[in-house]
Amino acid sequence: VSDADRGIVADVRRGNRDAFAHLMRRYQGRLFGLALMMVREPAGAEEVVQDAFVRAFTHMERYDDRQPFYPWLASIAVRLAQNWLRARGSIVRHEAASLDSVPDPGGPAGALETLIADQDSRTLWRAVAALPSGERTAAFLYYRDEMSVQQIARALGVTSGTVKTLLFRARRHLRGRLEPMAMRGESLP
Amino acid sequence: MNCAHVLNVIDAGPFANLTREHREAAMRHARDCQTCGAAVETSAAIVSGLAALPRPAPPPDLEAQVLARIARMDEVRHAPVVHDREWPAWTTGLGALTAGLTMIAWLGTEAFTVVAPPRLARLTTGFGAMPSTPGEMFLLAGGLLLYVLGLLAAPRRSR
Repeated sequence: VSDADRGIVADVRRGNRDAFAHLMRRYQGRLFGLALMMVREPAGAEEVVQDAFVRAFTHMERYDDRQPFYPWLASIAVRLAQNWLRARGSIVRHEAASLDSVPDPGGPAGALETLIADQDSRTLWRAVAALPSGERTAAFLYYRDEMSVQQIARALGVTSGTVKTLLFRARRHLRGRLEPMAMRGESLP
Repeated sequence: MNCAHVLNVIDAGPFANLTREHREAAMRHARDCQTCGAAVETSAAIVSGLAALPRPAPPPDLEAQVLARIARMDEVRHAPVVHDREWPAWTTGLGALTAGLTMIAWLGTEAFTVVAPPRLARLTTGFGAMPSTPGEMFLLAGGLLLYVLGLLAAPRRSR
Protein backbone atom coordinates (compact mmCIF):
# COMPACT_ATOMS: atom_id res chain seq x y z
CA VAL A 1 0.00 0.00 0.00
CA SER A 2 1.28 3.45 -0.82
CA ASP A 3 2.39 5.70 2.02
CA ALA A 4 -0.20 8.23 0.86
CA ASP A 5 -3.02 5.69 1.23
CA ARG A 6 -1.73 4.59 4.63
CA GLY A 7 -1.66 8.17 5.84
CA ILE A 8 -5.15 8.84 4.51
CA VAL A 9 -6.53 5.68 6.11
CA ALA A 10 -4.94 6.69 9.43
CA ASP A 11 -6.69 10.06 9.17
CA VAL A 12 -10.01 8.36 8.36
CA ARG A 13 -9.62 6.16 11.42
CA ARG A 14 -9.23 9.30 13.50
CA GLY A 15 -12.61 10.42 12.15
CA ASN A 16 -11.39 12.80 9.44
CA ARG A 17 -14.21 13.06 6.87
CA ASP A 18 -12.13 15.07 4.42
CA ALA A 19 -9.62 12.25 4.30
CA PHE A 20 -12.39 9.80 3.48
CA ALA A 21 -13.68 12.12 0.75
CA HIS A 22 -10.16 12.09 -0.67
CA LEU A 23 -10.15 8.29 -0.70
CA MET A 24 -13.52 8.29 -2.44
CA ARG A 25 -12.33 10.67 -5.13
CA ARG A 26 -9.32 8.45 -5.69
CA TYR A 27 -11.20 5.18 -6.11
CA GLN A 28 -14.79 5.96 -7.08
CA GLY A 29 -14.09 5.75 -10.84
CA ARG A 30 -12.53 2.29 -10.64
CA LEU A 31 -15.15 1.07 -8.23
CA PHE A 32 -18.05 2.41 -10.26
CA GLY A 33 -16.66 0.71 -13.40
CA LEU A 34 -16.43 -2.58 -11.50
CA ALA A 35 -19.95 -2.32 -10.09
CA LEU A 36 -21.39 -1.30 -13.44
CA MET A 37 -19.66 -4.22 -15.13
CA MET A 38 -21.22 -6.57 -12.58
CA VAL A 39 -24.76 -5.27 -12.21
CA ARG A 40 -24.99 -3.51 -15.61
CA GLU A 41 -27.35 -0.85 -14.42
CA PRO A 42 -26.12 2.66 -13.57
CA ALA A 43 -28.63 3.05 -10.72
CA GLY A 44 -27.73 -0.38 -9.32
CA ALA A 45 -24.01 0.34 -9.69
CA GLU A 46 -24.41 3.63 -7.84
CA GLU A 47 -26.27 1.86 -5.04
CA VAL A 48 -23.53 -0.76 -4.77
CA VAL A 49 -20.73 1.83 -4.78
CA GLN A 50 -22.45 3.99 -2.18
CA ASP A 51 -22.99 0.97 0.05
CA ALA A 52 -19.40 -0.14 -0.47
CA PHE A 53 -17.98 3.22 0.59
CA VAL A 54 -20.28 3.47 3.60
CA ARG A 55 -19.33 -0.04 4.67
CA ALA A 56 -15.64 0.68 4.13
CA PHE A 57 -15.96 3.75 6.34
CA THR A 58 -17.80 1.96 9.12
CA HIS A 59 -15.49 -1.09 9.00
CA MET A 60 -12.21 0.73 8.43
CA GLU A 61 -10.74 -0.91 11.54
CA ARG A 62 -10.90 -4.27 9.72
CA TYR A 63 -8.71 -3.07 6.88
CA ASP A 64 -5.12 -4.31 7.11
CA ASP A 65 -3.09 -1.31 6.02
CA ARG A 66 -0.13 -3.48 5.06
CA GLN A 67 -2.22 -4.50 2.03
CA PRO A 68 -3.26 -2.25 -0.86
CA PHE A 69 -6.51 -0.40 -0.22
CA TYR A 70 -8.29 -0.89 -3.53
CA PRO A 71 -8.51 -4.73 -3.45
CA TRP A 72 -10.09 -4.54 0.02
CA LEU A 73 -12.58 -1.96 -1.21
CA ALA A 74 -13.22 -3.97 -4.40
CA SER A 75 -13.89 -7.14 -2.38
CA ILE A 76 -16.61 -5.27 -0.46
CA ALA A 77 -18.11 -4.00 -3.72
CA VAL A 78 -18.00 -7.45 -5.34
CA ARG A 79 -19.93 -9.00 -2.44
CA LEU A 80 -22.45 -6.19 -2.41
CA ALA A 81 -22.91 -6.55 -6.17
CA GLN A 82 -23.42 -10.30 -5.72
CA ASN A 83 -26.03 -9.55 -3.03
CA TRP A 84 -27.65 -7.06 -5.38
CA LEU A 85 -27.81 -9.68 -8.13
CA ARG A 86 -29.04 -12.30 -5.67
CA ALA A 87 -31.82 -9.99 -4.50
CA ARG A 88 -32.91 -9.70 -8.11
CA GLY A 89 -33.06 -13.41 -8.70
CA SER A 90 -29.57 -14.25 -9.82
CA ILE A 91 -27.96 -16.99 -7.77
CA VAL A 92 -24.28 -16.58 -7.01
CA ARG A 93 -22.40 -19.48 -5.50
CA HIS A 94 -18.76 -19.69 -4.72
CA GLU A 95 -17.84 -22.34 -7.24
CA ALA A 96 -16.37 -21.71 -10.64
CA ALA A 97 -19.10 -23.58 -12.48
CA SER A 98 -21.83 -21.77 -10.59
CA LEU A 99 -20.16 -18.40 -11.01
CA ASP A 100 -20.05 -19.06 -14.72
CA SER A 101 -23.71 -19.96 -14.84
CA VAL A 102 -24.98 -16.84 -13.09
CA PRO A 103 -27.70 -15.37 -15.26
CA ASP A 104 -27.03 -11.80 -16.25
CA PRO A 105 -29.45 -9.13 -15.16
CA GLY A 106 -29.24 -6.73 -18.05
CA GLY A 107 -29.11 -6.67 -21.81
CA PRO A 108 -26.14 -7.76 -23.89
CA ALA A 109 -23.80 -4.96 -22.93
CA GLY A 110 -26.17 -2.95 -20.83
CA ALA A 111 -25.63 0.65 -19.95
CA LEU A 112 -21.89 0.15 -19.88
CA GLU A 113 -21.59 0.22 -23.64
CA THR A 114 -23.45 3.48 -23.97
CA LEU A 115 -20.85 5.15 -21.75
CA ILE A 116 -18.02 4.21 -24.07
CA ALA A 117 -17.53 6.37 -27.12
CA ASP A 118 -14.62 4.60 -28.76
CA GLN A 119 -15.79 1.96 -31.27
CA ASP A 120 -12.93 -0.48 -30.68
CA SER A 121 -13.44 -0.34 -26.95
CA ARG A 122 -17.17 -0.88 -27.44
CA THR A 123 -16.42 -4.01 -29.46
CA LEU A 124 -14.32 -5.35 -26.63
CA TRP A 125 -16.92 -4.32 -24.02
CA ARG A 126 -19.56 -6.19 -25.97
CA ALA A 127 -17.41 -9.31 -25.96
CA VAL A 128 -16.62 -8.91 -22.25
CA ALA A 129 -20.29 -8.32 -21.47
CA ALA A 130 -21.18 -11.60 -23.18
CA LEU A 131 -18.89 -13.56 -20.86
CA PRO A 132 -20.40 -15.55 -18.00
CA SER A 133 -20.44 -13.57 -14.75
CA GLY A 134 -17.51 -15.23 -12.98
CA GLU A 135 -15.21 -15.01 -15.99
CA ARG A 136 -16.17 -11.42 -16.62
CA THR A 137 -15.51 -10.35 -13.04
CA ALA A 138 -12.20 -12.21 -12.82
CA ALA A 139 -10.98 -10.82 -16.17
CA PHE A 140 -12.04 -7.32 -15.22
CA LEU A 141 -10.31 -7.42 -11.84
CA TYR A 142 -7.13 -8.99 -13.22
CA TYR A 143 -6.59 -7.13 -16.48
CA ARG A 144 -8.38 -3.84 -15.84
CA ASP A 145 -8.00 -3.32 -12.10
CA GLU A 146 -4.63 -5.08 -11.95
CA MET A 147 -5.48 -7.14 -8.90
CA SER A 148 -3.46 -10.27 -8.19
CA VAL A 149 -4.93 -13.77 -8.45
CA GLN A 150 -4.87 -14.06 -4.64
CA GLN A 151 -6.67 -10.75 -4.20
CA ILE A 152 -9.34 -11.77 -6.72
CA ALA A 153 -9.73 -15.13 -5.00
CA ARG A 154 -10.37 -13.35 -1.69
CA ALA A 155 -12.85 -10.96 -3.31
CA LEU A 156 -14.80 -13.75 -5.01
CA GLY A 157 -14.49 -16.21 -2.14
CA VAL A 158 -12.90 -18.88 -4.31
CA THR A 159 -9.48 -20.51 -4.56
CA SER A 160 -6.59 -19.13 -6.60
CA GLY A 161 -6.87 -22.17 -8.87
CA THR A 162 -10.48 -21.29 -9.59
CA VAL A 163 -9.49 -17.74 -10.52
CA LYS A 164 -6.86 -19.05 -12.93
CA THR A 165 -9.47 -21.32 -14.48
CA LEU A 166 -11.89 -18.39 -14.84
CA LEU A 167 -9.16 -16.28 -16.48
CA PHE A 168 -8.25 -19.11 -18.83
CA ARG A 169 -11.88 -19.52 -19.89
CA ALA A 170 -12.34 -15.78 -20.24
CA ARG A 171 -9.37 -15.44 -22.55
CA ARG A 172 -10.54 -18.43 -24.58
CA HIS A 173 -14.07 -17.09 -24.89
CA LEU A 174 -12.90 -13.58 -25.78
CA ARG A 175 -10.49 -14.94 -28.37
CA GLY A 176 -13.26 -17.09 -29.77
CA ARG A 177 -15.45 -14.02 -30.19
CA LEU A 178 -12.88 -11.54 -31.38
CA GLU A 179 -10.64 -13.67 -33.58
CA PRO A 180 -13.23 -14.18 -36.33
CA MET A 181 -13.61 -10.40 -36.50
CA ALA A 182 -9.86 -10.00 -36.83
CA MET A 183 -9.85 -12.64 -39.59
CA ARG A 184 -12.49 -10.57 -41.43
CA GLY A 185 -10.19 -7.58 -41.18
CA GLU A 186 -12.21 -5.71 -38.55
CA SER A 187 -10.17 -3.81 -36.05
CA LEU A 188 -9.53 -5.14 -32.58
CA PRO A 189 -8.96 -2.97 -29.58
CA MET B 1 3.61 -29.70 -29.92
CA ASN B 2 0.28 -29.44 -31.74
CA CYS B 3 -2.16 -26.52 -32.20
CA ALA B 4 -4.52 -27.59 -29.40
CA HIS B 5 -1.63 -27.65 -26.94
CA VAL B 6 -0.31 -24.27 -28.06
CA LEU B 7 -3.75 -22.65 -27.93
CA ASN B 8 -4.07 -23.88 -24.34
CA VAL B 9 -0.74 -22.25 -23.56
CA ILE B 10 -1.88 -18.99 -25.19
CA ASP B 11 -5.14 -18.92 -23.24
CA ALA B 12 -3.42 -19.80 -19.97
CA GLY B 13 -1.22 -16.73 -20.48
CA PRO B 14 1.04 -16.10 -17.49
CA PHE B 15 -0.37 -19.13 -15.65
CA ALA B 16 0.78 -21.71 -18.19
CA ASN B 17 2.77 -24.26 -16.26
CA LEU B 18 5.60 -24.88 -18.73
CA THR B 19 9.27 -25.61 -18.67
CA ARG B 20 11.49 -23.24 -20.61
CA GLU B 21 11.92 -25.85 -23.38
CA HIS B 22 8.16 -26.31 -23.72
CA ARG B 23 7.58 -22.54 -23.79
CA GLU B 24 10.17 -22.10 -26.56
CA ALA B 25 8.62 -24.95 -28.50
CA ALA B 26 5.20 -23.33 -28.23
CA MET B 27 6.57 -19.98 -29.42
CA ARG B 28 8.30 -21.68 -32.37
CA HIS B 29 5.04 -23.39 -33.27
CA ALA B 30 3.11 -20.10 -33.06
CA ARG B 31 5.63 -18.41 -35.36
CA ASP B 32 5.26 -21.09 -37.99
CA CYS B 33 1.49 -21.74 -37.65
CA GLN B 34 -0.97 -19.22 -39.09
CA THR B 35 -3.81 -20.25 -36.72
CA CYS B 36 -1.73 -20.10 -33.56
CA GLY B 37 0.07 -16.92 -34.70
CA ALA B 38 -3.32 -15.20 -35.09
CA ALA B 39 -4.36 -16.47 -31.69
CA VAL B 40 -1.25 -14.96 -30.09
CA GLU B 41 -1.96 -11.59 -31.70
CA THR B 42 -5.65 -11.62 -30.73
CA SER B 43 -4.84 -12.63 -27.20
CA ALA B 44 -2.29 -9.83 -26.84
CA ALA B 45 -4.82 -7.33 -28.25
CA ILE B 46 -7.44 -8.52 -25.75
CA VAL B 47 -5.11 -8.16 -22.77
CA SER B 48 -3.97 -4.66 -23.76
CA GLY B 49 -7.51 -3.66 -24.72
CA LEU B 50 -8.88 -4.76 -21.33
CA ALA B 51 -6.23 -2.77 -19.50
CA ALA B 52 -6.99 0.31 -21.59
CA LEU B 53 -10.77 0.22 -21.40
CA PRO B 54 -12.11 3.66 -20.54
CA ARG B 55 -13.64 4.14 -17.10
CA PRO B 56 -17.26 5.19 -17.09
CA ALA B 57 -17.69 8.34 -15.06
CA PRO B 58 -19.37 7.86 -11.67
CA PRO B 59 -22.41 10.03 -10.85
CA PRO B 60 -21.23 13.54 -9.96
CA ASP B 61 -23.01 13.55 -6.60
CA LEU B 62 -21.75 10.15 -5.48
CA GLU B 63 -19.26 11.57 -2.98
CA ALA B 64 -21.83 13.96 -1.50
CA GLN B 65 -24.40 11.17 -1.21
CA VAL B 66 -22.00 8.91 0.67
CA LEU B 67 -20.90 11.68 3.04
CA ALA B 68 -24.56 12.57 3.69
CA ARG B 69 -25.31 8.94 4.56
CA ILE B 70 -22.37 8.81 6.95
CA ALA B 71 -23.54 12.06 8.57
CA ARG B 72 -27.05 10.62 9.02
CA MET B 73 -25.56 7.53 10.65
CA ASP B 74 -23.67 9.81 13.05
CA GLU B 75 -26.87 11.66 13.95
CA VAL B 76 -28.61 8.39 14.74
CA ARG B 77 -25.63 7.18 16.77
CA HIS B 78 -25.47 10.37 18.83
CA ALA B 79 -29.22 10.83 19.30
CA PRO B 80 -30.34 10.49 22.95
CA VAL B 81 -31.52 7.01 23.74
CA VAL B 82 -35.12 6.82 24.92
CA HIS B 83 -35.98 3.99 27.27
CA ASP B 84 -39.40 2.46 27.52
CA ARG B 85 -40.32 0.48 30.55
CA GLU B 86 -41.94 -2.82 30.04
CA TRP B 87 -44.35 -3.20 32.92
CA PRO B 88 -44.79 -6.80 34.02
CA ALA B 89 -48.29 -7.65 35.17
CA TRP B 90 -47.20 -8.29 38.76
CA THR B 91 -45.58 -4.86 39.07
CA THR B 92 -48.67 -3.14 37.75
CA GLY B 93 -50.93 -5.16 40.04
CA LEU B 94 -48.75 -4.45 43.05
CA GLY B 95 -48.72 -0.76 42.24
CA ALA B 96 -52.50 -0.64 41.88
CA LEU B 97 -52.95 -2.53 45.18
CA THR B 98 -50.63 -0.17 47.04
CA ALA B 99 -52.29 2.89 45.55
CA GLY B 100 -55.72 1.50 46.48
CA LEU B 101 -54.70 0.77 50.07
CA THR B 102 -53.15 4.22 50.40
CA MET B 103 -56.33 5.81 49.06
CA ILE B 104 -58.53 3.83 51.45
CA ALA B 105 -56.28 4.73 54.36
CA TRP B 106 -56.41 8.43 53.48
CA LEU B 107 -60.18 8.48 52.95
CA GLY B 108 -60.68 7.61 56.61
CA THR B 109 -58.41 10.31 58.00
CA GLU B 110 -59.48 13.60 59.54
CA ALA B 111 -57.52 15.44 56.90
CA PHE B 112 -59.91 14.08 54.28
CA THR B 113 -62.98 15.19 56.22
CA VAL B 114 -61.55 18.72 56.29
CA VAL B 115 -60.97 19.03 52.54
CA ALA B 116 -63.84 16.87 51.24
CA PRO B 117 -67.47 18.05 50.85
CA PRO B 118 -69.49 17.11 54.00
CA ARG B 119 -71.71 14.58 52.17
CA LEU B 120 -68.66 12.72 50.77
CA ALA B 121 -66.88 12.96 54.15
CA ARG B 122 -69.88 11.33 55.88
CA LEU B 123 -69.86 8.52 53.35
CA THR B 124 -66.24 7.67 54.04
CA THR B 125 -66.29 7.99 57.82
CA GLY B 126 -64.84 4.85 59.26
CA PHE B 127 -63.95 3.67 55.79
CA GLY B 128 -60.33 3.35 56.70
CA ALA B 129 -57.65 4.78 58.87
CA MET B 130 -54.03 5.74 58.56
CA PRO B 131 -51.86 3.08 60.11
CA SER B 132 -51.29 3.92 63.69
CA THR B 133 -49.60 0.81 65.11
CA PRO B 134 -46.02 -0.21 64.28
CA GLY B 135 -47.34 -3.36 62.55
CA GLU B 136 -49.63 -1.36 60.25
CA MET B 137 -46.85 1.13 59.49
CA PHE B 138 -44.55 -1.78 58.70
CA LEU B 139 -47.08 -3.32 56.31
CA LEU B 140 -47.64 -0.03 54.48
CA ALA B 141 -43.91 0.67 54.26
CA GLY B 142 -43.33 -2.87 53.02
CA GLY B 143 -45.97 -2.45 50.32
CA LEU B 144 -44.44 0.81 49.16
CA LEU B 145 -40.97 -0.73 49.17
CA LEU B 146 -42.18 -3.63 47.02
CA TYR B 147 -43.74 -1.15 44.64
CA VAL B 148 -40.50 0.82 44.27
CA LEU B 149 -38.48 -2.38 43.84
CA GLY B 150 -40.93 -3.48 41.16
CA LEU B 151 -40.37 -0.21 39.31
CA LEU B 152 -36.59 -0.55 39.45
CA ALA B 153 -36.65 -4.22 38.45
CA ALA B 154 -38.83 -3.59 35.37
CA PRO B 155 -36.69 -4.38 32.26
CA ARG B 156 -35.82 -1.43 30.02
CA ARG B 157 -36.30 -1.41 26.28
CA SER B 158 -34.28 1.02 24.18
CA ARG B 159 -35.58 2.54 20.99
